[in-house]
Amino acid sequence: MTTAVADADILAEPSRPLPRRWLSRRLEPYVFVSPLIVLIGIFVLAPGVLTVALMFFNVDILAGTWKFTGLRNIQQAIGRGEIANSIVVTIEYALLTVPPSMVLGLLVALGINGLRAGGSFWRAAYFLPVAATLVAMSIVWRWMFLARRGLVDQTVGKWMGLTDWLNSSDLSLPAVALVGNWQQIGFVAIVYLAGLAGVPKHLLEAARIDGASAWHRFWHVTWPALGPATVFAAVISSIQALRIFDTIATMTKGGPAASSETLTYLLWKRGIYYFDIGGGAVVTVVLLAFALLATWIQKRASRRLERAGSR
Amino acid sequence: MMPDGKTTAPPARRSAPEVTLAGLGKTYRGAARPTFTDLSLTCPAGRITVIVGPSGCGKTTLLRCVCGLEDTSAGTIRFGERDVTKVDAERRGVAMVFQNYALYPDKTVAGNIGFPLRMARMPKPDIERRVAAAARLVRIEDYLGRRPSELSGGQRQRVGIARAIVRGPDVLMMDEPLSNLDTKLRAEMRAELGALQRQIGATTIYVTHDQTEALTLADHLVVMRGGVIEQQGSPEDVFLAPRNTFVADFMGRMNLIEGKTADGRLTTGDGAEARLDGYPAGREVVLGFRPEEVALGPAAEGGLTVSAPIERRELLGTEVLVTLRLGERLLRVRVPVGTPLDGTITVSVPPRHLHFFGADGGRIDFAAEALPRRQVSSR
Ligand SMILES: Nc1ncnc2c1ncn2[C@@H]1O[C@H](COP(=O)(O)OP(=O)(O)OP(=O)(O)O)[C@@H](O)[C@H]1O
Ligand SMILES: [Mg+2]
Repeated sequence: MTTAVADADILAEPSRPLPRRWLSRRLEPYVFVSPLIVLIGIFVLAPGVLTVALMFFNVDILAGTWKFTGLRNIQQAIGRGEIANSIVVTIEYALLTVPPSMVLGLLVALGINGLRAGGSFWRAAYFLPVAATLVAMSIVWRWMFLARRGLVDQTVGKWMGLTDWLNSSDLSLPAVALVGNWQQIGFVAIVYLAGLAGVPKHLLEAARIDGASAWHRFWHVTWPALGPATVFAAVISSIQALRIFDTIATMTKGGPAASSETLTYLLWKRGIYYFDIGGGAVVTVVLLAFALLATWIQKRASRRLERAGSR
Repeated sequence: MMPDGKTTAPPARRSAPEVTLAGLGKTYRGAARPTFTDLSLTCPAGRITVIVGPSGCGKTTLLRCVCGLEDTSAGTIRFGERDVTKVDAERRGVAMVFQNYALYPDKTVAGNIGFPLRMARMPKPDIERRVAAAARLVRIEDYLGRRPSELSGGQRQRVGIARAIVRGPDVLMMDEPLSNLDTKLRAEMRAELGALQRQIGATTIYVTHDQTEALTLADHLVVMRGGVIEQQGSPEDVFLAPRNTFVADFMGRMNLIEGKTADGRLTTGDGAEARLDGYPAGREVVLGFRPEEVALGPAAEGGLTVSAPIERRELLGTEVLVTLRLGERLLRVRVPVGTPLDGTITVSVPPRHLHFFGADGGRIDFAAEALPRRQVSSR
């Protein structure tokens, strides 16, 4: 009784606002965000502007000379045809990794989600490739794809006649994509597992009562609820596909005959290997365009989903 | 419900089965204690069985067992002659109205209501006819194109009900279907639900912890506590003759006074006293009466008379709920507005409104025992 009265007294005290700070309310937010603005300016905006500028120059880093060449870098790049090839290869690689890893990742997530026990073991097992160093793993995979003596040629090669994947212009990209899938499935599965945890259980139960079979429960309840997870996994997987480099550098070096030369690998080849800074900048800008396109699609899709989520 | 008289009830009236639970036991995985053991209950065919009980007593668990969302650990569940204990929820054919509506957010109202029919692979024109009929029954027909998020709570609840009745279910479950609604809407929906149930004639099990809902809707009333059925019977029987102090307290919040009868008095352990005329002396009893069954002033012929200081007053509308202090305990009585209420008040309860329970809390037939003596001693 007495404490309640004392507590009531505390609440009855007039509440005094803190004294006004020296910073005006309008200035305050800018002060707080300024460090980040500066960092973004130095590490994001400036390099971006520089890259676009570099497209129009012939730069010799060793001599330290810059020569304005107008559109020559771009004309040369188009003339060589390597950018067109790399765009096709990059899109092919994305098509070979994103849809399969999304589907398989979802299946894995559904499987793990349905387990009564041992879920955390399988989660860890599937996530391992995501956490592993890709270069090291690529070396293992290169060894598995080795002509004749490698595991792949010993098995798939014998059964289906598909041999020496890494030296075949038809099979080198699929080989790299296989490793991409191997790694990406775990990531997609984790995203979907998180999404599955958010599927309202009472809706699944309502659907069961309404006589919906397992498939219908998935299609009418689970899948709509997984929308945000699907967008997220698709966006991240697509960006991963755009950025693919380690596996290609380790397993195929873009070959044979540029059949697995993605934009990132071409960028490295142009800019670092040939030291053609201007040519590399052109590739970078193409890559940037792809990244912006992916971001735009993501923005649109997630806006639609946000609207869907609010209903 | 159907002022224009055009509306047709969606389900063809079939003979709804009696739902029989025999020796039902349920222990959740990993739970230390069973939620209930050896629970037996018969829900009359085509009628509403209302299950009431305090929070956590196992009402929802019981419903989930009956509709198949939970396995039972022991016992059998029968719908009529059919043993459904091991039948999956998907095929048990029970309809359910959920407390939180559980509407499919991406489907329209029509899509929600028609979903069970779609799952039953009913032809499209039939689905449309039934959805329209069910929607008219719950008066939601103007909203068929909307999504659940564009509806009010009461409208959502109606959609949930329409989805449950659209199949013309034989067995219908409702888990606190009105608890999310405001008082006025709840009263309206309560009346509608009762009428609706009589129209569709499904054997209905209805869970609530609202006493009014329980009494108004029930054909058969079941009071549960801690997984045990404390009393079941017609609502009148349960209300007028609660079997023990728990039921007395839970249904109608009876005032309970523990004490010992002496000549013309009831003395409580803490030394307080009340007048009690016409009952045998020397018995340890728990005396009960409801707040609304008191009269002002001392008892005219027999019964209980309490004079006690007023502790608190709460205006209920036309009545005032007055809290009295009798010794250590507080008693609640309802008196008309305008009753002078300062200091002390004297109220009385006639014998027909007095309930007696033994020391173990079980009801005893104290008044009947006392009847001959009372007649002798009455003036
Ligand atoms: N999934 C579960 N796992 C373990 N124990 C549970 C589970 N669900 C409920 N219980 C326990 O079973 C008991 C009965 O719960 P139940 O939900 O049936 O109560 P209720 O009567 O419906 O209560 P309320 O009126 O609050 O809805 C409670 O003690 C609860 O803690
Ligand atoms: Mg409950």
